[in-house]
Amino acid sequence: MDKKKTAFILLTLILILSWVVNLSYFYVHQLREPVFLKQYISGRFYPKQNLEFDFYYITNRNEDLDVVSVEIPQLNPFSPNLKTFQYNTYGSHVLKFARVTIDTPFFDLIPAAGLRINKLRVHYRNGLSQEVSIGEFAFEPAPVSDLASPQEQPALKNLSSGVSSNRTGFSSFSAEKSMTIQKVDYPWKDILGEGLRVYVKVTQDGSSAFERMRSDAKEDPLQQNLQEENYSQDQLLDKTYFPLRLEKGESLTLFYQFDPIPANTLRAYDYCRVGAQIQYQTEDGKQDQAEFSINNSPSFVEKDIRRILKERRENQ
Amino acid sequence: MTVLQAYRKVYYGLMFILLDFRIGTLDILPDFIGYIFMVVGLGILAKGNQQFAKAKLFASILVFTSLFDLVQAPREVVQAPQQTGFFITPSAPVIPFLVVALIAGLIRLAMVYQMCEGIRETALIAEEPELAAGAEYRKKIYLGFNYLWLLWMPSSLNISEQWVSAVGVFLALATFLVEINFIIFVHRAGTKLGEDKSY
Repeated sequence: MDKKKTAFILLTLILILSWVVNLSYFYVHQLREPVFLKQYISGRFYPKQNLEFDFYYITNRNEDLDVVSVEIPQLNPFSPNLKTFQYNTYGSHVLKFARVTIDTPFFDLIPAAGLRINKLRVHYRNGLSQEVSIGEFAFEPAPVSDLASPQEQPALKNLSSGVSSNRTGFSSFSAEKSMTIQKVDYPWKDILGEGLRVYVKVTQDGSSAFERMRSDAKEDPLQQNLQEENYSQDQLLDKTYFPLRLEKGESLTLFYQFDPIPANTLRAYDYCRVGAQIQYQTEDGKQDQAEFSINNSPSFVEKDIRRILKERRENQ
Repeated sequence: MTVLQAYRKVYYGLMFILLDFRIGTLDILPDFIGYIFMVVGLGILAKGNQQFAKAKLFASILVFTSLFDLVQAPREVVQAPQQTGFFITPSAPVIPFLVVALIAGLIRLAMVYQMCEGIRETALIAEEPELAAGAEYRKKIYLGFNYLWLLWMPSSLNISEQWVSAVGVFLALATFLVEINFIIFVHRAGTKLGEDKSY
């Protein structure tokens, strides 16, 4: 056989082998059905406020399997608007997101007791539909007291808030009156708490507030531990040291940080937009709460997507 | 029609295929028109050398396969919430596109191979050894880079986007330059082999 012919056959075989191996690998890793990422969204709604949220799902790159419409079982027969977008491709998979908007004022649709959504019925372009778990959404109407006197200045005033792409954020508050912070809490603490750290820091005259808290706690064994371990002023929320007294003019800052990706826990891959509450009582005995938002929009590399899919497969 | 005119038809056909202007999703310089030019040009050249007849056959097939590329699926660019960067609406399924691209790529390789052989043989008869050597060189370069492209295509299914972009851009640029070089060579071959000749 001449040299040219041998080279031609060899190159053809390499080409065939490359296609066979790559297509086989591609098909072996195909998903049987789209995988929906978990999201945790909470919010308080006021009249005339509309709802918009996104949900994310992973599908096979080779399929034009888009979600074309969605039903929220609790809101049937009301049908939200939906638009699907491609987010990014990861090897043989693609991450897409669908944006759901409800144009009707959402406040009118929420029962007084609030609305919890943990499943959506999605309809695909190919005509199939399925009920999917998407984490949990919790919405509640604004309390009547807020609606009745919206102009009243809160005793704990929000100064600034910020969110960073490195999965951290903060909210600063100033005490307009002397008060006692009774509790800081956020929803789905048992789930989100795995990959989320919330820190409390008292600023400006905050050192005195912090020292006061430590001296007040001498009799409390838990607080004694706190003293012995010599914590800095930045305290993890889960090292509970409330109630915390805040004098008029002092500031309170709450920081949060999600575990970096790649993370130790898969919870760090969950999207979230939750409203956390700071419950406080002013000196005149009035109880109220201030809110701050905790957001997480993780961005993935291919390894993360593989990890999410592996975990889902194992749990099936 | 003169040989020069036939070469020019092939030349314009190749230019037409190389240029890709779209209004929205519609290709306003569709490749199939370029291949029709080539079929006409190669049909005339085939009267002088049978290699061009084979190349014409492959160009005729490519007239039809190129129709798949006439209209692209519409894509919409939007900004995702709470994210930086822009994202596009879902694209068409990948595998059918790749298979069509593979088939068209192989036929195109065969066409260029036959064209280079035709030019080389014609150049040798016309005592243009430099042109014949040029044809042999272009054949190797063209087939080499396009072979790499075909080899690379299925790998893009399974590797990360960064690699797809990096290697894809390099190969696309290399094959583009090789394509330009080949088109210029066809023009030169027409000038040298086609003047004052007709079949």
